[in-house]
Amino acid sequence: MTAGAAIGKFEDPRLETARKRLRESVDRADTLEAIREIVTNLLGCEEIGLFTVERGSGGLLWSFGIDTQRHHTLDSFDECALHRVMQGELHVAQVDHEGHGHHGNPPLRIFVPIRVHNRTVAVLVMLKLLPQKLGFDKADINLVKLLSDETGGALFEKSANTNA
Amino acid sequence: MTAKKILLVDDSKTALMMERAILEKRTRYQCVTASDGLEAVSKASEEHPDLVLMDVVMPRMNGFEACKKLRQLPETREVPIVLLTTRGEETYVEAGFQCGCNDYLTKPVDGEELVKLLRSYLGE
Repeated sequence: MTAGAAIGKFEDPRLETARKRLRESVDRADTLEAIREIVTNLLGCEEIGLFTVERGSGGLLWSFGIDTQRHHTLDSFDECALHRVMQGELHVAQVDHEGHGHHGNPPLRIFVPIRVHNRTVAVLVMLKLLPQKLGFDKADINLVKLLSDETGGALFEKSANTNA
Repeated sequence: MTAKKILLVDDSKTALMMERAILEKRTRYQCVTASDGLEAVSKASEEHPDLVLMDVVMPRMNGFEACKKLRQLPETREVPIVLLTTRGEETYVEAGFQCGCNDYLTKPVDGEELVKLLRSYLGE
């Protein structure tokens, strides 16, 4: 099932909840709060950052739990992955060998293109799972795709004029 | 038969929506909500829930403090309390039980596991 599928009897309740929460967001700040809540409560990831790609800056716009000194621009991440994300592809890399996580948490690199009118305007990066979350499955990917499809307008179109 | 009542406590709108969605689809339990520990204590006294499902990290009064408070009040001291939080570290789990919770679950919540646990306290 795609993230954009109609709400059905068998839909993952997380998708239904996330879609409803995003659509009920009242302004840009509330959309960012919705993203934070969805990523931490429904996906189990505790480090997120939103980077702009407008005018090629790649600067960090907003974050939660992330090391902002280390990751203040997209330049700190894998260039090939970012190239694909700019084309609108989701990039998920789970690194499961020892020593690459923080405090035993499963390390992760998820790059989510935030799209407006078929153009990537920002990248949402997720870096670390909660200790009890052991990996990403297909249902998690559907939830991430929903974030890619449904947050761009609220965050970056002209009507989203309230500062976060 | 009167539906069993659950008090859902979380400062995250998304978490409350998720818990409500699971319970409304899979059970006949009635849900009431509070957005922090302070409101939870007040709502529990007013609403007399059959169970409290509560987050830990919240503003004003966190889940541990609220749990202790609920255990001190005569009208809520016997009500089962399940903590549901992102914090899965052993120290948090131990603190939860020391504050008087009956069970401790971590997020992201598994709907089936949640319903099974709540049924063990409340029945169908």
